[in-house]
Amino acid sequence: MCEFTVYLNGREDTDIVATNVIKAKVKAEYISLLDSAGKSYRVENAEIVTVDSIMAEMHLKTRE
Amino acid sequence: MLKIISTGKGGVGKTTTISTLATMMARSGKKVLVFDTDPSMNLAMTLGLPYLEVPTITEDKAEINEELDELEDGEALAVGKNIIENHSQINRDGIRIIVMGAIPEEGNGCLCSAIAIVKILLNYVDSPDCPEKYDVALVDSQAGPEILGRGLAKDFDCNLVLTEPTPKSAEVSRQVVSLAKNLGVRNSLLIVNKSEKESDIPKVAGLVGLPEENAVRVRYDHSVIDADWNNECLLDAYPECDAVKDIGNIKDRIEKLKV
Repeated sequence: MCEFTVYLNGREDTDIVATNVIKAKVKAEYISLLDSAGKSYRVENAEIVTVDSIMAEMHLKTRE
Repeated sequence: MLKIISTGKGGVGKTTTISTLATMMARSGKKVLVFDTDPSMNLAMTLGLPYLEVPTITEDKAEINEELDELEDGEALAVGKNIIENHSQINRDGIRIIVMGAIPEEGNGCLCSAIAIVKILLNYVDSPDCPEKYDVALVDSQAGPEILGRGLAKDFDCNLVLTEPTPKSAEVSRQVVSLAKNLGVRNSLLIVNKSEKESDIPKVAGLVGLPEENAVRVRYDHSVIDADWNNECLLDAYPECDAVKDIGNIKDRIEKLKV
């Protein structure tokens, strides 16, 4: 399905910050995520590294 | 709010069963919401609404998305209010109908985004933010197990697993039951539809992997075909027919579910 599992700084289960994500928005200080249940998440001080539709994964990393 | 999904191979009778159940429930005083998430959308028509009069989510996806973008973090469920007001219709029995729709044009991708909007909407109608309190939400799904792979039925109260009494149909149902279990669907009720023999129940239940006591038999009944040809509601045209009586048994079983 086209809902993403979002990882921060890795691809282990412990690196998951949100699942079933349908929208990601890059804001000045954070990345805003919205899942398909309508719940929002904020990931502070991060940037998007990869958006992978085949694996339904999005990878973020903490800004240096 | 009781949340129920119908699943199974194409042509097993999901739409007829859901529309008849919805009408029975509405006429017994329940506030009923139905979702047609089958791209071959027939549910609204079966419930008496002309096909072209029903606005679909896929048609208005850009507008819904724009509204989602304008909402602040944590307010996404509010988009449900707009969808209920502008993308649903109510039939003569008071059933509110929401149609997901089909892919609008070639090369336009999959239906995942529309399913995601349906999920948000389901959470909205089940939340304190929704002023209308529904007793039951019934989802008529597309053929095959894919709808469960998309997670739509997560934590639903009941999966109505429809099958014809044939091995191929039962195999799809077996896959559906397995996925539903992993999604946390609390009950699976096996509906052996178009059945001509009582002995269909143990055979099909065995193939699907559900106990016989979880199965309901709906007898083969030509009234279903006649009602379709005459564009009539099965319940109104043939209220005493075998299929209607058997779907009434499904309603009774649903009302006894532990949820």
